[in-house]
Amino acid sequence: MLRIDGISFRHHHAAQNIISGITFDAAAGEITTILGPNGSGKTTLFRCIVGLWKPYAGSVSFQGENICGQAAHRRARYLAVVPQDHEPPFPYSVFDIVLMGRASHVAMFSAPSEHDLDAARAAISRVGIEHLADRSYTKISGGERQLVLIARALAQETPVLILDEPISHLDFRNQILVLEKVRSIVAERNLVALMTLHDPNLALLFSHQVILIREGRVLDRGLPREVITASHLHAMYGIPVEVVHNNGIGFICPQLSAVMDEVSP
Amino acid sequence: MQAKPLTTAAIAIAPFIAAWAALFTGAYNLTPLAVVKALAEGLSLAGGALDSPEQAIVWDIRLPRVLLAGLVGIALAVSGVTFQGIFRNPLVDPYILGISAGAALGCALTVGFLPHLPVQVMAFGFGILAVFLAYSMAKTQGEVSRLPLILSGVIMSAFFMAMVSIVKFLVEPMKLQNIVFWLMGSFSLADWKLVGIAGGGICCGLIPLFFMRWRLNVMSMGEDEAKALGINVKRDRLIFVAAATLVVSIAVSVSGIIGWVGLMVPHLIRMIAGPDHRRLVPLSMAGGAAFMIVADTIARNLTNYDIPVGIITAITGAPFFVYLMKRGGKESWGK
Repeated sequence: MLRIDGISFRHHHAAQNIISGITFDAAAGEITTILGPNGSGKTTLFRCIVGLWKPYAGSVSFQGENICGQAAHRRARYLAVVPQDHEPPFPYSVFDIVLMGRASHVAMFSAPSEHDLDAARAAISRVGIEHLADRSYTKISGGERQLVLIARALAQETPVLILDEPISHLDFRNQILVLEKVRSIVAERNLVALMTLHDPNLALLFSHQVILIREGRVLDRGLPREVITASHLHAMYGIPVEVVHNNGIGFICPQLSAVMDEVSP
Repeated sequence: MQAKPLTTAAIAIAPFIAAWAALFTGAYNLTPLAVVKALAEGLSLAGGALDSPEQAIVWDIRLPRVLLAGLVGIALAVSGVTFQGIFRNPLVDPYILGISAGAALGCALTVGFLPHLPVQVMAFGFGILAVFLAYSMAKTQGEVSRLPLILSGVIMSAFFMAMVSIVKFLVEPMKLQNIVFWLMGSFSLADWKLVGIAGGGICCGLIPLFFMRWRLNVMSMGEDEAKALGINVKRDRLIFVAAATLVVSIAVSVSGIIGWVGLMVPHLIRMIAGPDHRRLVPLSMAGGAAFMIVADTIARNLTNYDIPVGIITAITGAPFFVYLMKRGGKESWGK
């Protein structure tokens, strides 16, 4: 279990906290989704959890062990990060990219061992992208790249997977395929998965727990269908929405006529 | 993008072929057979007197020169690979970053005013200063973008070369002549002592660069990502910068400023063998050595004079840079 306990952060010399006292647990085998509007502190929280920024209060712990403030190579044994889609400066092959996941397992003055190469191959085949292994990472599609980054996180062999808006650049089909793949891997390997999303509908479909963040604080957390309500979404995004039920699944639909009345000055 | 074993092998043996050819080309005609004979005789004498002119030419003139050119070629190419990797910028090399100019100032100061100090000390000191200044100037909000880094390198280069001019202005004519000739970048002063200095210093820097080369893959993904993958970015970057600057400073101290090699060679090797630094670093070493030996052989045989090899590399390098810039288009200048 990953425990986020009272994380607060502000920039040097800044008077105001960007996030304050964020607390929640993320269970193994489940996807925990962080939902919040732009500027809510979602990214700040994310950077604090993965250790890029140091919170001035609070801790991140995995099974009782505090991983805040640990050296990079030790933290990388607990947390694997799937970053947003990006372009490296050199056209590395997909296999080379996945192999980078082994960085925390490779000693400073050595190259990856046969065991590391095997771990990378295994991760590639688990994600099902063997056919891409020799292709150049810069020449494949956005959806394929996201799968490569997921494979890299798996090659890291960590108990916790952290995904930063993994589908923000993908088309509809790829959004579903990538999230479905994440869900099956998380269940199969009993991983803790923490991800940030923009779309409440996808959060409803794919997560076991949802954390709502508003103005740097947790607005509510719990089961997706209990937390993602019309009133909460209205409070977070300032847009009136309706939850439409179909076959037991709720869908979020913005009330367009009301939106214009409320948002326009 | 797997390199074919044959191409890899061809690059790996290129420096030996180049060295071989360089040994029997020159003003004094030697047949390949005579070179073998001279080499063998020299070895069997084991440090004794050298009698035949062939032996003297091969052992005292051409062999140290070929070795020195090879070592400097290795140093410039590997440091180019390293800086391109850690700064995530395919358009930089020690020359463009101003490190060569910084090291040159260190050398000029030593030659002019501090005759008792080994030139390498000041060369390394000013080389580090140059890269530090270029990097901090280009850094805005924790990020170093491509174009600002190149610009600040150019600025550093100009600044340090201006300082070199001041030194030239102040020193005695004899020393001035030394500085001017050496600055043009040449191997004509090669002897075994320089080969020893270059070999020792360059090996010191190459060892960490060689063994840490896979980490360059991870470092080139950017600071945040490398950290998340478990790399101590600050420490590793310091090691890479210090080691790469050391080899460049040593190279500058023995042969002056030879530009563009650190840019051209890694690019050519990347086109042939792919960007994976596990292969790129050793193959760039081979490519750098071969390129430099060939360039130097051309430099000393093109005319009756011994043209500084820096002129040859600049003549090939400048158009190459333009080609890269045009080919990369907008991407080269972006972040």
